[in-house]
Amino acid sequence: MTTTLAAPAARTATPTARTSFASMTKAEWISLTSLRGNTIALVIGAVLVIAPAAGFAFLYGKDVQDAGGDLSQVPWVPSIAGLSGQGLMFGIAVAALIGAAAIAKEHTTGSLRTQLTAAPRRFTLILAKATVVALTVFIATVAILAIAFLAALAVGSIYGLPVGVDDFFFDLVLPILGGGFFAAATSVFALGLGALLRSETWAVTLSLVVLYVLPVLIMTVPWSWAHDVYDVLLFNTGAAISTPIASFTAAYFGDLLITLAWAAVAFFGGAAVMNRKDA
Amino acid sequence: MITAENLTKRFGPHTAVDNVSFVARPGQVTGFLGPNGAGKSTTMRMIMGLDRPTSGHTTVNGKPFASHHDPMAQAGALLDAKAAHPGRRAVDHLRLLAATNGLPAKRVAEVLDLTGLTDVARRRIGGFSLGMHQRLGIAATMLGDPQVLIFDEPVNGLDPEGVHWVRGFARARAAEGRTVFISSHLMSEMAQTADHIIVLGKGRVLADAPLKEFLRAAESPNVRVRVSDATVLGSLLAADGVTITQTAADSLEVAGLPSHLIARAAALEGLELHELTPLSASLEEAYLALTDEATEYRSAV
Repeated sequence: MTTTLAAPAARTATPTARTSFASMTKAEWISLTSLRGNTIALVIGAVLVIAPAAGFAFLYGKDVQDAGGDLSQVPWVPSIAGLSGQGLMFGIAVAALIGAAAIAKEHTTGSLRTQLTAAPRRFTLILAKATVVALTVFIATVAILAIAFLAALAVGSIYGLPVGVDDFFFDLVLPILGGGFFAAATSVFALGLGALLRSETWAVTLSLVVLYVLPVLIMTVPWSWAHDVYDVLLFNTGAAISTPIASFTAAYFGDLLITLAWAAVAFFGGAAVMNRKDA
Repeated sequence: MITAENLTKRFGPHTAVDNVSFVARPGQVTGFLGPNGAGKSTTMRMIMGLDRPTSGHTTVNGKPFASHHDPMAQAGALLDAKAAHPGRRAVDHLRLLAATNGLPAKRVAEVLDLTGLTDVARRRIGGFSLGMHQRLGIAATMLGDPQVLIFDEPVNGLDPEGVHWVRGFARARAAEGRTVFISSHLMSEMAQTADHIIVLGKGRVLADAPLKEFLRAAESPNVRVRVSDATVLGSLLAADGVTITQTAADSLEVAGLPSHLIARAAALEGLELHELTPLSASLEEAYLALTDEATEYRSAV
């Protein structure tokens, strides 16, 4: 570099420094939004959720059209509300990627150490990180699921597919909010694993194994308790809270709590490791 | 002000820092000198709360660094210039750090200006040269206008202009009354920057003294003499506190006697002097002598 430099002069006015949860949250927002990778992940996630919704609406719509518009002639016709959530599993995978990268990538690049020399309270840092990641993923997922529904509605209504929204809240709003909650919980789960393992690759791999491989493995085990375990796996509780229900039940709140517990256990595990180990 | 008291850090069986105590005072550049692997970086990491000491403790301005509510106003540390996300723009890296302490965005523009990085602020850090990394790291330390500055090997990999700039920067900050604590493995570098020197070797403090004392200690009173008859002169000069080494038939090395006394003795005896050279050991040699036993990695040659 060949920049010509003036004689070093330190300050114009003395700024007041103060670190707090609020200031750390603002820093984490900058951290998350200043990386191109996160923007790209968000766009890919949106495409992977919206495209299947519109695509399935088109495919089933063609089925109905080929049957001359007679719904009784088609073996099975999903509702527009039902198929607009088909891409959620891709969105969940992207949420895991964003959560894991938010801490593990910062760790491996050394950025986290630099940040700790500026604000050394580690629990505040990881809490602010999880808060920002969870809120961002929640809002993005809710918006994307809403757009996916509108896309499926736009395509499906051309072919006369049933909308499937009898109760606006239970059939549409609650599943979309549940999908956002599932994605947010998954991102915090992956963030916790990222802090535990300090490796983006392993945190993402383990998250995907827990989400998508574990249910398959558990189902092939011949023991009876396998079904009970299957019911509390993250993917099943998450899927349960993102599908339409008739009314609030104890089972619904159970699924909500277990989804939250997956995130909480990984988060506190990760926070404990971060607190104890040398940065 | 930085203090370290009986600081020890073990990694398994390896003791990286061994019962280290020192004070780095305001208004001074304190040089932290030692060969690679002496424990300088580990000590700095413990001061900044990144590594937990096995025993002992450190303070920054009277308190452990992590217990300050305004950490960036207390201390700024450049421990690893490369420790930044390569995908982030320089300006965003600084905005993020400033935000952790609620510092206004205009501080970012000020430190970019201070370190001459304004023109490259929008570039991603991954494309930075080592010199630009160092400047970015120094810019980050100045965000909170801190009382204490800690730089780990800040001139490593810098071009001569960069080295000159860092030296001037450190001196200027100390002149403003700040505590400046800089590590280096080069004595020559520290001799030009530091007021006070702490030498570390194999995790232990080997010396802790003002630079002036260091320079005085480095001055060896040895005198090389070439004379018509070295044996005769040697026996004439022999006295308590005088060490004479005959290096050849016509030459001696004399320690403990000033040159003019050697010349007078030779003249009185009618000996012909061919050479009378005061030998002063360089600062580098004094440093090497000090750390010789305490070098962790040594080349075979």
